Amino acid sequence: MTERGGNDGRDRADVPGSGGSLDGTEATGAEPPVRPCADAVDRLEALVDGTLEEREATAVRRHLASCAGCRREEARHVDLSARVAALPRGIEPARDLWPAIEARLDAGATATHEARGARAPRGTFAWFAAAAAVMLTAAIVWSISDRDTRFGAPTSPLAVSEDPAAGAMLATYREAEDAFLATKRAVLAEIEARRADLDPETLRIVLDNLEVMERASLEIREALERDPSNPSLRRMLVASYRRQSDLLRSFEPPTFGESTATGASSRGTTP
Amino acid sequence: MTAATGTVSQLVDPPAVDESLLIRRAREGDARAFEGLYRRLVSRVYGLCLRLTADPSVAEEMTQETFVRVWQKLHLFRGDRPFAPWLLTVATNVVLSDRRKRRRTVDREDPIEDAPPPAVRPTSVAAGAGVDLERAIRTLPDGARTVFVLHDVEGFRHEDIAGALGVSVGTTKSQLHRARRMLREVLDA
Repeated sequence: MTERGGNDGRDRADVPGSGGSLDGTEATGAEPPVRPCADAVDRLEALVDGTLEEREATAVRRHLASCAGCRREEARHVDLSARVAALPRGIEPARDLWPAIEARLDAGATATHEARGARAPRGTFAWFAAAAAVMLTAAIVWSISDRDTRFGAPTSPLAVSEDPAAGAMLATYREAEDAFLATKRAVLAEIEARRADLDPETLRIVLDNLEVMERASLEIREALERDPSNPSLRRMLVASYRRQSDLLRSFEPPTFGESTATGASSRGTTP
Repeated sequence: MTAATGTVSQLVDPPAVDESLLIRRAREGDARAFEGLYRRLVSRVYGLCLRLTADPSVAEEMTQETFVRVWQKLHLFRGDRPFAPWLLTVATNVVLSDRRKRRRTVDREDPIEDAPPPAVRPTSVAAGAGVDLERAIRTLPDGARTVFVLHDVEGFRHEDIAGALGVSVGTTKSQLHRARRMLREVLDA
């Protein structure tokens, strides 16, 4: 960023900076206002935002000391920031919205009850996540088991083998898988009941992808029935269930802004 | 559920009741506790919705929708974090989702014959008048106004705004710069 020397009045509008007084009012009524340096405009905004690195900020401040145009521009940024900081944190609606909200909450509870015969359990998605975690833990143990040779080709991996320990592990896996699949059905029923509240595009994408994953897991299971001692197939099945779990969690509220949305710190407390 | 009409009763929102207690009770299905949360935070939600939509009637609709969704999703709120940012997150997504739906509706219609009337919005500013910032914000185009409100007014990060809008951080920074420039021009007029 360089300083430019002063120039005659005719060119002054095109000559940034030119030094002079703090507020650039050295320009008389007959002279156009000085403009900021073209290469400084973005940095001035960043300086006011506090996002410039210290070295660059120091260089900009040094430049401001001798550039009226840039000082004026900085003052405009500061003025806007101050006005934003002075905005009220909230705005009261013209009327009380609670009665309409309450009516919708009542209607929603009634519709849910009528549609499914029972109120949906709270924390359905958390319930699903917990069931999925149990299933995946059991399945991971099963998939990396060193007891593959015990199972034998014609035996289904889901059947109880002669080895009590392996049988117990397989039974645990089977129970966990059943719980996972049952919970998945419950989650899908919940999604269907709340379809009107969900973003249709997200819903379409999730359900389309879920269908693909379900076909894949079905094929893997069928392959496992034919080749129960295949550890790769087991791992693939576990991975497929994990992907389905992750996909259905898409309907949890986003984490957008959770840790950073504090509002302008200079605007004071919540009214 | 029965509403406490008129003034809020002490049982609904006594000053001494901790917000976390209201949240806990609301999560357990206590509608009066949820009303208490509504009373405390409706101005934040409505203010955000109004600034994003520039339309009071749409903002009212979005505010209602936000609280209905929050009631449905309250069990998903992680109680170890501040509630207001999460609430405003839901409100932002409600507004953006609605905006996408409205655009899809417009796209399906004939753009010349069936386009909905434009939102009522001041289209010009009297030169020399003391235009306040709220009115100036409403004159901004949708994209610039959204980024300005979320970043400068509400304090969200560019990364989060870009993610919510499905655009790059470069785009949100560019929109913010544009919004600030336009606001300065309006305010300086």
